[in-house]
Amino acid sequence: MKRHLIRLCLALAVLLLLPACGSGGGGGGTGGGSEELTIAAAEQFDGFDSTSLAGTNIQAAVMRQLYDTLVALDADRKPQPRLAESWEQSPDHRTMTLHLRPGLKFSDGSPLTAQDVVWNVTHGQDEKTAATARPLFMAISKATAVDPATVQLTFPKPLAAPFDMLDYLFIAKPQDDPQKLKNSPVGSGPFKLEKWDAGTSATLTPNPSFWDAKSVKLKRVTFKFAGDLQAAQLLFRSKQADFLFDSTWKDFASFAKQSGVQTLMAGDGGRVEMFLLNAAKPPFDNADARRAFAAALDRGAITKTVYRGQTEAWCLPWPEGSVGYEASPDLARSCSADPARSRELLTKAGHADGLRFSILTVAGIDAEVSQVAQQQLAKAGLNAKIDSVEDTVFFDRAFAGDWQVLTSTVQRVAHDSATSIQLGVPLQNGGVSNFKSDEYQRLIDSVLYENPGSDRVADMRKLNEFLLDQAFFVPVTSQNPHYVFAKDVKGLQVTLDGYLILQNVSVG
Amino acid sequence: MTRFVLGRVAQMAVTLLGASVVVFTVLRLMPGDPALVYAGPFAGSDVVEAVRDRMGLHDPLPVQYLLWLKAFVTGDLGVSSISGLPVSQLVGSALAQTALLTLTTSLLAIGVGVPLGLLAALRKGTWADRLVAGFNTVALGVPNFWLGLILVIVFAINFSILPAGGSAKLTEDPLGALTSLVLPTIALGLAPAAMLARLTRGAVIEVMHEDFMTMAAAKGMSIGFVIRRSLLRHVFLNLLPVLAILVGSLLTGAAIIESVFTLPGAGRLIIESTRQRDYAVLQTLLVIFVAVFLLVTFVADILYSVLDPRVRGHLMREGGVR
Repeated sequence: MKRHLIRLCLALAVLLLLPACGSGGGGGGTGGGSEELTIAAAEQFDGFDSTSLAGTNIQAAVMRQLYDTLVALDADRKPQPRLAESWEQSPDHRTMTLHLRPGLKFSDGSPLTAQDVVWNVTHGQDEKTAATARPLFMAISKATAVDPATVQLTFPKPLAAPFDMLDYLFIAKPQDDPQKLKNSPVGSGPFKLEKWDAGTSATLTPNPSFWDAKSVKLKRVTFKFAGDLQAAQLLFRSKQADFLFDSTWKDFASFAKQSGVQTLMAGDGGRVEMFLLNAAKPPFDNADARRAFAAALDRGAITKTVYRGQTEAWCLPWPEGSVGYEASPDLARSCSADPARSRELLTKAGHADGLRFSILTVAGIDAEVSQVAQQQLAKAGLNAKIDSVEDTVFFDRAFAGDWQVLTSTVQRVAHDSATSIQLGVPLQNGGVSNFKSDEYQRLIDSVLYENPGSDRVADMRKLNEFLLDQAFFVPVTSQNPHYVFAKDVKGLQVTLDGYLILQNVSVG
Repeated sequence: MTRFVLGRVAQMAVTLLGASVVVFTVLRLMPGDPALVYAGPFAGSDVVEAVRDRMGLHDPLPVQYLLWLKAFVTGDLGVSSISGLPVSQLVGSALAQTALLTLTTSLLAIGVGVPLGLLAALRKGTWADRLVAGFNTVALGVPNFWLGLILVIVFAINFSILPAGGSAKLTEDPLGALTSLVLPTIALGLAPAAMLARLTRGAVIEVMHEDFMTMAAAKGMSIGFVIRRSLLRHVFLNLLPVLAILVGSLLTGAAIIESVFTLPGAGRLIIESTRQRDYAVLQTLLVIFVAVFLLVTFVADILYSVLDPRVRGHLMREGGVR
């Protein structure tokens, strides 16, 4: 028996110690040399459906790697050729003709033609597809393949910013089976999906058929899913990953001070932290009560406390450079707290003795924002109870309208401001806030479409003033995507929304 | 014996069916609409309805259950409503990872706990006994997730000799897979090792006072011979029910450790599927867990009856053994 026990102990010791003598943990991420990039992420992919942008942030990050668009907007919101090398618009701006690059191919080597582009448009418009950007695609009344290399899009009304929609139209190879579209993607982007272990990792390798294949430097990109922020950070700190996709603002501020790593906060307007007030329910069905709420908020204190001073206070949800911001630069960032004015408005709304309500939120940064705001609001007589619930419960209650105020983020407002209103449901007329007004719709239409003889910037300013006055949507700050990565990661670019472009990245 | 086994199998089948009804019902009673998890809380109602339709959530609950049960018994586990991947693929891979962790942890617990318990019992009252008692107190008192974090900080971040987490598959990268199991095995296995050490010590001391042990000593048999021939068999009988429970609890208790070490096991899959309300994956995993529990206790019962003549005799008197 003693001999058996000794053997058992030895076997266990070998099991425990042998691997330690092997490759070990250090350098797992960078160990592959200069051509491999390992990204540690807290969340995982829900699949690779080219029309699904509503899932996790990492989901949106992989889109541009697997799929290309006809046109992409640069940092100045100017259209740049991608799959389409040129385009022209009819004089009335109701028709756009796009010319594809010659010899385009999908990642499986099959030709990419105008007919495939048409399929992607109609697929995105199909209600059953449940595309995130469907409100934008619905602006197209007809998509036609004029010839294998020419696509013509027709709009019932001339759009003021038609390229925004094209920036979200990711071109995937048509497949009848929706499950295949989701988990066996055949795309047109710089990388292709080599391997996907759901919940564990996904590996991308260069797409040899990509039209600009020479620009792709990385030989392999691996996304490692850690399950939570802390575990992702441990992977990065132990050098099993070169890139940390998610971090808390506290950790990001700490990383930003370290010399051994690089940090990047990108994409103003990729996500905007907001309070949404339910205009269909008391007490915020009253505009003065909503105004009182907005006036009591000290956004600067929130960004300083919760965002560790990494972001600035926003009064309007538009980033610099967008038409929304340029129309009202004086209003966009200057909205200091005014508890006295808030009390006046509260009295006007018939709540001179104060107001009780609840803020629906989820654990994490939204709950932190709510807690800081709770103290500020109380000074003006707005007594908020914080209702912090699980994500899924939040989703249920938000969708059912079972809330008075909620804290969340609106995504993708970095594009043209009118497009952002159309795409971002919290900002839509009659959207999730239940705020509905003919005047608001008229103002949206005035900036969404080209209207001969009208001044779009002036119209946008009116819309901004309307948003500030009605205060059903109360922005707090830009919750930008923020990344931490090793010193030797070079050539990183981001989209207008702040998501990764890995096409030109190299390591080492 | 055949009748006993068949009776137990039938009992297990009924329990499993009941468990599947409970699991299905409880999951549907949980707040949270999977269609909203997929589409997002601010999606338009047309989009959400389209997703619900695609997920088959419009059917009445009994119909949903019967469709799932019918598919389940024919081996069709369906696809994940979130990722669209086959449930068999997701669950199979996760269970393999958790089974491996359970195996290494059990080996560590038994390999460390039983010898330590023996040592403490045979050297009762000495410094060795007190040392083992000290180890037991520390190992049982330290939360495994905290120990896991400390191990990661020391061995993965500071010394860089072991990985902070891992996803390598045993079939593709055996060394990488084993490497990634070292720290989680220690974090998860120390407490069960301490528990086994305590139980072994108690069992050995109890058996040492039995008449047959006194007789063996009186006959002049060596202590090694007595341990091999009699003591361990009796101790093992005492530990058998505990080991069955231990294996079962390790299977389900690995969730936190899998999260700390980013191991793609069943525990982490349960957490993730619960968060996403991925009914197909959750139902399958939970029913499999119940089945594993039932199977482990069943095997323990059989082993018990084979090893202990008194139990076998009882079963024969009950008419269960043929």
